[in-house]
Amino acid sequence: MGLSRREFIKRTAALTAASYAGLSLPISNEDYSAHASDADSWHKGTCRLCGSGCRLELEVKNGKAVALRGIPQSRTNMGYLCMKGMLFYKLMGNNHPERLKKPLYRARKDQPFREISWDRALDIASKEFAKTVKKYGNNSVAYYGSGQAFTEETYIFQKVMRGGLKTNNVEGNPRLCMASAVGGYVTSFGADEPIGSYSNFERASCFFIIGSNTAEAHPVLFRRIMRRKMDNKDTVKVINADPRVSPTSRIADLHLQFAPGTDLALLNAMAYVILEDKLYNEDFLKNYADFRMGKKKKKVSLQKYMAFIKDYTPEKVARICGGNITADKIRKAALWFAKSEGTMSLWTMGINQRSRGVWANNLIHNLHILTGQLCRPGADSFSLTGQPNACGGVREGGGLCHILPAHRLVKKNKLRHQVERLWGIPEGRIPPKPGYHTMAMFEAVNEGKIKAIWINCTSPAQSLPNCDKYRKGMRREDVFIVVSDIFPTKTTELANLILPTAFIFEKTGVYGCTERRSQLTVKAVNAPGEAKPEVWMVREWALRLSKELNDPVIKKCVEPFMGKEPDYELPKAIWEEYTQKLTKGRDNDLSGATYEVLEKLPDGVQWPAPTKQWALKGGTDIKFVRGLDPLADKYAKNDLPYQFYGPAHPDRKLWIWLRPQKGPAEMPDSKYPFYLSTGRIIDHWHTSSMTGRIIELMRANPYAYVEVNPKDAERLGIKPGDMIEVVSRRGRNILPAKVYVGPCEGMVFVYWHDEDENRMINRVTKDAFDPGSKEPEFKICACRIKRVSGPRPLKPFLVHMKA
Amino acid sequence: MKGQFLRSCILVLAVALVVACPAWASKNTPSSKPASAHPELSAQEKLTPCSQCHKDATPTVYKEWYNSVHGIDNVKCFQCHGTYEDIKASPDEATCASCHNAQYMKRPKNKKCWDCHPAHYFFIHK
Amino acid sequence: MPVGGFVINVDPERIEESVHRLESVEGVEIHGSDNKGNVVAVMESSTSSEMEAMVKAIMAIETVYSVALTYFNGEDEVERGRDGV
Repeated sequence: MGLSRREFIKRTAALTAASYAGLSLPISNEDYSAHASDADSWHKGTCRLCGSGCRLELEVKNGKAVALRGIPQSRTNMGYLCMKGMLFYKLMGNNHPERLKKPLYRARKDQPFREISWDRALDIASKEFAKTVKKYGNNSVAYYGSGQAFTEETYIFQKVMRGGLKTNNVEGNPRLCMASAVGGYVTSFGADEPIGSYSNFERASCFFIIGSNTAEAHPVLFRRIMRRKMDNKDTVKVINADPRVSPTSRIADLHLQFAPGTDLALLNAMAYVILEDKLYNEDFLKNYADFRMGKKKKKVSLQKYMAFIKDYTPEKVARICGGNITADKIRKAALWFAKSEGTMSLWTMGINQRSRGVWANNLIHNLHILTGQLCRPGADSFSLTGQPNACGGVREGGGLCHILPAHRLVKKNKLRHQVERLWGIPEGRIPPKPGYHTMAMFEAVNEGKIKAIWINCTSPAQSLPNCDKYRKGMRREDVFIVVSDIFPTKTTELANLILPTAFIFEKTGVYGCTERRSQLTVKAVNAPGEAKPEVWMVREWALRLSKELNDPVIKKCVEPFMGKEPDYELPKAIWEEYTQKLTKGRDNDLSGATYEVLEKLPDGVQWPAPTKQWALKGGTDIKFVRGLDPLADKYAKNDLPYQFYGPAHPDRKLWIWLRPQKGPAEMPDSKYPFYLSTGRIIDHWHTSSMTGRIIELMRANPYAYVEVNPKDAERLGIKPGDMIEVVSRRGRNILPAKVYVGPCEGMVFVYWHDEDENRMINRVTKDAFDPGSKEPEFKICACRIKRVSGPRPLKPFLVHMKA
Repeated sequence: MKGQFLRSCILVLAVALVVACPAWASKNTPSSKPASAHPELSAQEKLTPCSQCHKDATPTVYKEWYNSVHGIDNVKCFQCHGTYEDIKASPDEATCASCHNAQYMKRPKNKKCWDCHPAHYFFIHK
Repeated sequence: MPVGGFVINVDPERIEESVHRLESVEGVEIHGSDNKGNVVAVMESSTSSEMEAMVKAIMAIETVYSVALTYFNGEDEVERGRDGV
């Protein structure tokens, strides 16, 4: 029997007093320990707090979540967890008093919320959406989801929106983090998602880490890279390319610190060295590669590519890049990259969140194609994902405005009609035009074109760039906003209807992590109060919508799921439809990965997994390799060992792209002389609505800082802890300074998790976005900084529900 | 005015802790071992990463940790030692199992984890 | 709600009587005592000023020699401060 926290404190008080007096008391605090030996049960699941897909076990005692530990047999984390993974049980069930427990409603946003029943909440949600559709048309409603929702949740939301409400206004926060990686994979390799797996960490001899602070953003994956490096100090090289020196740099042999926005030039210069020194792999190029350029994807020759790359001599590029970059460093990096037994590139938001993020992705892939550093052990061009289910749920499940489930493009008639057939709804039901992408969606909210929006499991009011601009639209009284979440956030502040949802381990569903791996978490504890799984909400909402709009097709969308118990049977039925019907025969074939199979494995299944037998082995470790990937054998067109059968490249080639250097949308100038970049810190995740509520994590990083290079700090008279005003053309923050050889000179860096209005850096960032991927350029804008005072005592801040 | 008594008590307490520490250890029986031997801090002071003070307060331990695999991989003080309400100078061994469960299960039962993997260095073996 | 751990020194000749009187103070829990007159007490109050008042009340008991704080936890007071309550 566990002690309550209050009981624990009182016992501690008594024990401490007794020890002063030298007294023995007949009590102890041992049963407060989370790991006491009389465990009731341990339940397998996936970590909630990044995209690594660490597998863990939750200990449940008397219905209460009490501890988490890693699963040693898991191929993702091998038993290791970071502090977030160790502690997030503190948010489950009744462990946290602030969990949302009842539906809350207000007709107007200037009114206080009132508790209402689920019946009434679902009535309101369906009436408002139905009314809006009738009055303003199908494209006046929208769903904005999350890379943290289960695949089953994203899938059923988008099914009801597209098949039921006849709109492709289906988006999600992965647009803000992964869209450029999707664009890069599809245009370079013809298929989304990485070719290889984490298993390459133990086989790589060179790591090229660019635009990723892996040590803090993916600490458990970083452990594997660190181990590989430390066990092979002389033979394994680590190159870290980043405008900011970060904890990741600690294991680097070579640090390339370039000025923000000069990444494309740097990558082209590495290609220059590879060509000039004949470090490319001629056979690989001949068999598998093509050269392409421009919007029309024009095919060009190697000679043309060589002529293009001539402009990027290391000497010239070193001048463009600034920072610590020299021609020698570029040459050394290119040499290590090309010559190693297996080179693995790793990147995340530093590359993706650029106004030319797709191009930056292409240029990394170029280096791998040129040198043939693909498909063989340790060789991989591997984008790391930030959210637990951005890949599985949103990229694969059809969670963006232009894609349907299983990598089908909305605009392809054949594929769209295929989905309509599989759903058993009339042809032409899904509109042929993609919906609004995220930035356009919130612009449409601003303009009053979207009148009703359901935001699930994410907080755009804080996470959109230049968020004040979009909060204005969300405050409009003529825009009806539903927010489903577990805690109050900056976005629930702007809602009309708040629906309390079950957290992970309080419901059942699948997360698909970075390495194409789908992993199941089965419900182990009860959700607090009246919190419910989203899949139940959507089903019930759809049934009511069907009545309100007198449209039986909406009901048809959820018919296969009627009468199912919501904690396990319902998500299982959704997963079955998605995998058995929608993914079958596609490149992300998951038809072998049934709940039964997933429950048997310590971790999960990597697609393609077309059969149960294959899935039970864990699925496909490396795509496109005959003998390793069943689809490579099935779709083989010749005797070559690699078969690039991806749906986007009918020529089955990898494409090397001619992409010129292009700077950020906003460059520093005399008025705003600094680069501003943003990022994460290990203890917090995203908008900190979860990690901020775990006291250990909150204390470790109670508020956001602005990191200032010591040289800039000296010039501006800034001392550690001084309060600094950071101002851009969009907005301002006032934050404490960390004077630190992190960012390069002329650049400041701010953590983005803080919910305090003064420290919410997305009020300052710019909402420019990549014309291809539509992913915003969070990572670079121009700002000015000024010391406003000495250190001030600060308080951590979280949004609370007003009583 | 408010809290003056308590504040002075806390000050006395902090001093007493430092003075009393060695005597304590010998007198302790397991059941009366205090949960916290950390000097009391104000709420504001508690909003400080452990390492920030311990860099100066226990520089040797800090350096050992910083250069260990735990330091490089950002495994922080509170993950093993807890936070102010439940600080343990020697961690509960089950805490090690959060990450090292396989090793924890097969460890020699007559030894503590850190008998072989010295605390804060964490070599593979002593 | 602050929680404090105290060692209260009482007249060793009148321990039983003292414990009885201490127990009658609202918010005080007695966890043990020894024959030297050391009494281990835990006090709970809704604010720290209320706890100070309790300490004063205990000091007023004639068999009590001294009251020493050994442990104090006021974290939820801090939280309330944060919420501006």
